[in-house]
Amino acid sequence: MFLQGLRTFSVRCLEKYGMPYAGLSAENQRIALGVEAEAACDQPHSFYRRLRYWTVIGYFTSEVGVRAHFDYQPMPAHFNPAEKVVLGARPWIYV
Amino acid sequence: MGSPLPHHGKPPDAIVVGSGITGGWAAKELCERGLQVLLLERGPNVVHGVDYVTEHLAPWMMPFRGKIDRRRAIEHQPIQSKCYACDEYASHFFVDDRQHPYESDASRPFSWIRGYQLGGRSITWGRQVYRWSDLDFKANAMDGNGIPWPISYADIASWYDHVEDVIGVSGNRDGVPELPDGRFLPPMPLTPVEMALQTRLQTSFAGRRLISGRVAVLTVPHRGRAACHYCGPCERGCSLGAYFSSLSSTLPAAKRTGNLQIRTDTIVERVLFDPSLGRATGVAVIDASTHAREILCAPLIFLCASTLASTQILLNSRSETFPGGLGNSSGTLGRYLMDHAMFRAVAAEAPGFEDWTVFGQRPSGFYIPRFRNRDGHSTDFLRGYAYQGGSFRSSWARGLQGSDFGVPAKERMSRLGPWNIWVSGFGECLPRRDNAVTLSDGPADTWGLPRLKISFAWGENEFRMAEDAALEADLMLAAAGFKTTRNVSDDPIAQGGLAVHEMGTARMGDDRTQSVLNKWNQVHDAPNVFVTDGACMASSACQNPSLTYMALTARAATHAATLYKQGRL
Repeated sequence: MFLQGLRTFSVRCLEKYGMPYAGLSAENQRIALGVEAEAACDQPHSFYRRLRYWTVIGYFTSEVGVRAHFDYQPMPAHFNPAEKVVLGARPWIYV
Repeated sequence: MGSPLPHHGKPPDAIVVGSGITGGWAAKELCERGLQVLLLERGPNVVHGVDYVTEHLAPWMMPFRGKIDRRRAIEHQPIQSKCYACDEYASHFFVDDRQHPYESDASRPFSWIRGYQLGGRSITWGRQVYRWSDLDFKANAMDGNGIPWPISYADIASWYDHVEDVIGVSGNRDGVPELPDGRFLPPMPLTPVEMALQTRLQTSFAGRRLISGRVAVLTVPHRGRAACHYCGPCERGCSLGAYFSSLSSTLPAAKRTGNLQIRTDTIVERVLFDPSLGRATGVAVIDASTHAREILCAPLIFLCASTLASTQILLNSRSETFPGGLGNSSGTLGRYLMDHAMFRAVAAEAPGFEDWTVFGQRPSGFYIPRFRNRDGHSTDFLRGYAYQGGSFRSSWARGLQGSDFGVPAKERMSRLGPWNIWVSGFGECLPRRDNAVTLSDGPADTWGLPRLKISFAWGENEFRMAEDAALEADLMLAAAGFKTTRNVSDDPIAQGGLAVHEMGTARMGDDRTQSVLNKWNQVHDAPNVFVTDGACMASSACQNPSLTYMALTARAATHAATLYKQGRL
C-alpha cells in the first residue's frame, strides 16, 4: 500500500506540476503535501500518515537529522537526573 | 556406558547444563570449591566484548535504523521480536523461532523468549534485582495455593549477600521490610519528576514508597569491572562489563580457577539414570552442527538450562523406572508454570518541571514495592503487585503523532518535549496445575528431539489485580499533578511469557509426592541431579526473579560440593 501510495503521489505531482515531487519548489512541495494531509486528516492508516511516520523516523535517525538538531552524545560517561535546561541549546540525544 | 573422558583433561566432577545467569553461577561456585566442571551450552560461543558487534553503533550505521528487519522478523523471529530488547541491534542474541519451534495452543498462547548462546539471556536481561521476603516464601502456606516452600528468608539471606557482593547491585537501603535491603553500591538517582511522585506518596498514600530501582549495573568500579557510562541500550552487550552477565562476571571467575571446561554447540538430549545405583550417570548430548550423538559422564549434574529447557530435558529423560520423565514420580514435573503478569503501562505528562532535563541514559528506573495484602488480606484478589517505572523528557518520537510537516514541524519535534512518566505493574501469578508443559507427540525438531508443548493462561486473580493496579496507578499519578494518558490498545495483561520471568514446572517442596526438588534443589528421585534455574520455583512473588535464582544456585552448588567432597553424593 505504501509503495502504491508513493506512485500515486508521484503521478499527481507530475500531472499537476509537470515534474516529480523532488523537483518542485518549496512552496509547491508544501501545497502538494498539504493536499495529502488534508485528505488524510481522519484516516489513521492513510498513505499520508505512513509517509509522515517513516519520514520522521528516517530523518531523526539519520546522521544529518541528528547532527542538525541535537547534541549527539553516544558516551555520556555520567548520569545527571536534573540538568538545568540552557535556553537555545540543542537537546542531547544518545542513540 | 560411553566414555568418561569427553576430551582432554581430567574427567569432570560435575556437568553444568546452560551458561546463562544460573549456569554461570553453578560453574563458578563448583569450580571455586575445587571441582572439575564441564559446562555445556547448546548455542555458539560469544566472546565478551569482541562479539558485541552493535555496541555504540548509531542508528544510521544500521540497515534498518535499529528497527528489526520486518521481513526477517516475520519469517524467523515472530515470537522473539515481541520482546522489547529484540531489535535490529540485539536480535542476534535471540533464537530463530523457525529453527527452535515449540507448540502452544492458540487459545492458551505463551511466548517463549530465548537466547541460545554462551551467556544465554544474561546478555539481554532487564538487570532489575530484588530480594524476596517471608511475605513471599510463606504465601503458599498461608493461602493454600501451591505447596509450602521448603525454605524461608533465613535460609537464603546470606546467599543474597554473597550474590550481591559478586554481581554488584546499585540501590538504596530503603528499609522496606517486604523488600529486604542488600549489599548495595551507590544507587542511581531519581529525576525531579520521580522525586515529586515519591514525596506525594509519602504524604498522601500511607504505606506506599517510591524507591530507586535496584539494578545489577555498576555505579562505581567493582571487582575489575568498570562503572556504567550511561550509553543506554545494555542489551547490545557491554564490553566494559558494567552490567552483570555470566560473560562479564561468573564465567571469567570460574575460568580463573583452572577447573572449567566449556563446550558450546552441544545440546543435552536427556539425563541418564542407572536404576541399580539410584542415581544419574551422565547426559546424552548432540552436536548442534554435525548432529553426532555422544554420552558424557559425571557424578554431579546441574541443570541450569532455563526454566522450560531444564524441564524439557527432564521430561525427555524417560526410562523404565521413570516413564513420565526423570524426577516425575510425583506427576508434577511440567506443571505449575508461572510468569509475572505484566500489566498495561500507565503513562502521564508531568508539567511544571520544564527547567530540568536529564543528562545520560540511566539503565534503570524507579520501583514502587508491593503495598497490597501485606498485613492480612484486604482486596478481592490474593497477594500483590509492584510497579516499575521511569521518566524522561520526550524527544522527536512524540512527533510521530500529529499531521504537521515541513520546517515548522521539524523545529517543533527537535525541541525538548514535555516530561513523561510511566509505570507498569508486575503481578504475582498463582501456581496452577493446568498451566503446564508436556512433550509433543507431533513432529520432532531438527535434532530429533520432541518439541515442548506449552499451555498457559492468566487466571481471575491476575485480571482482578490488573484492574486494581491500573486504578491505583491513575490515582497516584493524578495526586502528583500528572495528566495520565491511557493506552487502550494493549491488553490489560501482556501475553504469558513476555515478562520473560517464566518459572515453576519442577518445583521445590518437602513433600516428594507433590514436588520435583527438595530444599537443596536436588531431584527427589535422583539426588545427584540439581535443578537451580527458574524451574525450581514454587511460587512467583512479584519481584523480578533472577537474584533469587542466583542465590538458590550458589546455595545448592555449595551444598553439592560439600556433600561430594564428603563422599555423600
